[in-house]
Amino acid sequence: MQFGVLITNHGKHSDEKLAIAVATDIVQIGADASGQQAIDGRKLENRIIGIMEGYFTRVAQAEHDGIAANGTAHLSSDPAAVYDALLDDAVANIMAAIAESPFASWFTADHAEAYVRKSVGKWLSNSSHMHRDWFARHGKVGNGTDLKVSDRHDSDCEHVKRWIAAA
Amino acid sequence: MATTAVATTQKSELFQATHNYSTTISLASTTGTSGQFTLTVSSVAGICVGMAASGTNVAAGAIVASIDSQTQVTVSKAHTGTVSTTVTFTADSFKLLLIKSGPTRTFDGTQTNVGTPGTGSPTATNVGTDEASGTGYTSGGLALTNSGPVSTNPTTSAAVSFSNTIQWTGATVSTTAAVIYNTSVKQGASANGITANASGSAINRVASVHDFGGTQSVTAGTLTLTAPTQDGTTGLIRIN
Repeated sequence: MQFGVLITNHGKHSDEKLAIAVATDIVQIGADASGQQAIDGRKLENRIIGIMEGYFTRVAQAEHDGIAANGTAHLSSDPAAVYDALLDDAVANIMAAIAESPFASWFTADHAEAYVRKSVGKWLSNSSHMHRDWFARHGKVGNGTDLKVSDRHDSDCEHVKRWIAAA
Repeated sequence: MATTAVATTQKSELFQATHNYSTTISLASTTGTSGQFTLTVSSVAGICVGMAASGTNVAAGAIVASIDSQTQVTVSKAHTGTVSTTVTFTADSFKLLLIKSGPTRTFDGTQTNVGTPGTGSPTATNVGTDEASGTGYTSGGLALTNSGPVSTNPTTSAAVSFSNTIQWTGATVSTTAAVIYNTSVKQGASANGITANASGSAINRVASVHDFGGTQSVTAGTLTLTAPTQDGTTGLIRIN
């Protein structure tokens, strides 16, 4: 029944931080884990972080490009169109990394890959929402804590009002 | 302080069909005759009695009164015109609010109602001034999107969850826990201080309390809550 909590001060979650969240979701190392298995788990986490960081960068770039091209109208576009295009590739790369790890046999069941897909999809969606929310509510674009005021923002625009009202 | 728990009242209210976590269903090409109460749909799968129905010429406030066949439902109010459109069936609306750092009250399974968040003394029927506040946080919290209950692992269990991103940006706020509550009118209010609307129906009933294990603070930044796997072991709200 516990929520996970991810916090970043003075800006957005960085691509690396989001990647760490995915890796932590997939490779759940017990607090008391030790020995070779814990080391192998950390190695797999690091591989997943390396894989996912690039996908979060691509989500950020797509969101920034959309805002630059369409301004506030970008808020009404389907965010899934951005991250769904990356999902299959990201999951395949993670599953390949797992297959090369000592934990390959732990992930052979169908529901294991489904879990990976759900986690990756959830965090790509969170990332997309985060970029749009910072733009809609605060008129800011950029990555991590390197945020800038966007000249494409218009607080009177219906797209912005709808976005804020939806919450 | 808070203790993660399903509200005890919700447990009993589940047996009264007071909380419906079903996902929203939109059915294209739904038809109905002006002045009548029945709707012909492509399938009644997933539709429950009590769900709100909305669409062009479906009366405002109409709810599903009965399931008549595999392709027909009856709603509670007569159609205002010929229905030939997509009709949306919506279950209850849930929200999530944050509890401030150092609340005066211990939030746990005895919390029955969020009352008037941000206002009044905290009690079992009112979160009151124990709700978090700060830049980027709106009193009452965020709306949640039902992802629907599922039977899940272990196979004897069921769990519910929510599909939308629970996130605050540009936020400066400190919190120790979250409360999920039902904003839909499903039950008559009793006289024990439960917040009621003008018709005397209970609103804002608590579903669950989720402790964060300590104070979580964000400064001019991003706060994201992520729901656990929707299963019988870790699900947010579950029956084993």
